[in-house]
Amino acid sequence: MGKLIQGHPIIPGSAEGEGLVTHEPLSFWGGYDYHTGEITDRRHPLSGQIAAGKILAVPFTRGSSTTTAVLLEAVRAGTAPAAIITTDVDSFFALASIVANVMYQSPIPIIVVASDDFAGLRTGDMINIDEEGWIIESRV
Amino acid sequence: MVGMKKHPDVQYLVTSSREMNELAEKAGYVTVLESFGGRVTVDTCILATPMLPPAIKTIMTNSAKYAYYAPGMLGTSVVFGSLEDCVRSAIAGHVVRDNSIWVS
Repeated sequence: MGKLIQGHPIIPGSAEGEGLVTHEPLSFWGGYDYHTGEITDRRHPLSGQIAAGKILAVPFTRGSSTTTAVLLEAVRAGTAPAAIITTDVDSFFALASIVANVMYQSPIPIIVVASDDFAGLRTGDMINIDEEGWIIESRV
Repeated sequence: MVGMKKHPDVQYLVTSSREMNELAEKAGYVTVLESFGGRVTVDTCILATPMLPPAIKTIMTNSAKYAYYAPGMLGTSVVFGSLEDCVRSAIAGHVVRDNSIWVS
């Protein structure tokens, strides 16, 4: 039985995948390669990791608002994370997901969790998200 | 910079806005820059537009933005310095950097 977290779905949806967790904010512009899903910010702790298909937990975005366009391109290319968990409403992620829904009928679930819950997330854990924003995290 | 030239192995690139470039032209700075061997590109940046010859493996810049993103986006290594450091390095053909300006 995994740990159960009640998240607040900003863009609701269900998703399942391996967790990729960081406590360092990230800019997708200049930090995420939509051709491969690799995190390319060479000063970021997740540099070199592939986020495609994973549940990316990043507290918030930083830097360029073009993060939205890069995430949208990643959705089109099939290299986006399966869902994104943040600690607060992040309008750049939310906008990308809303537009991805309109353009590709493929919104990415964006879920906000409390900082305490976020702190407990671990890279490599299996993370399950449902439409109501419930998150089950299980160690594998 | 007046009367000086960049080292032949160095590309000296300036990115700016159209408006700033016009002001610089009126003030005579662009002529000085061009006879130094510099090249001005307006309304974009090295990260958004390909303007680096592939042979360039190291960038020295006074832009914190370029310094932060270039390793991931352009695959180059980076030296951050003041504008003066950049000009001196472009003349010398190797990195010349005054570290004392960063410590108080």
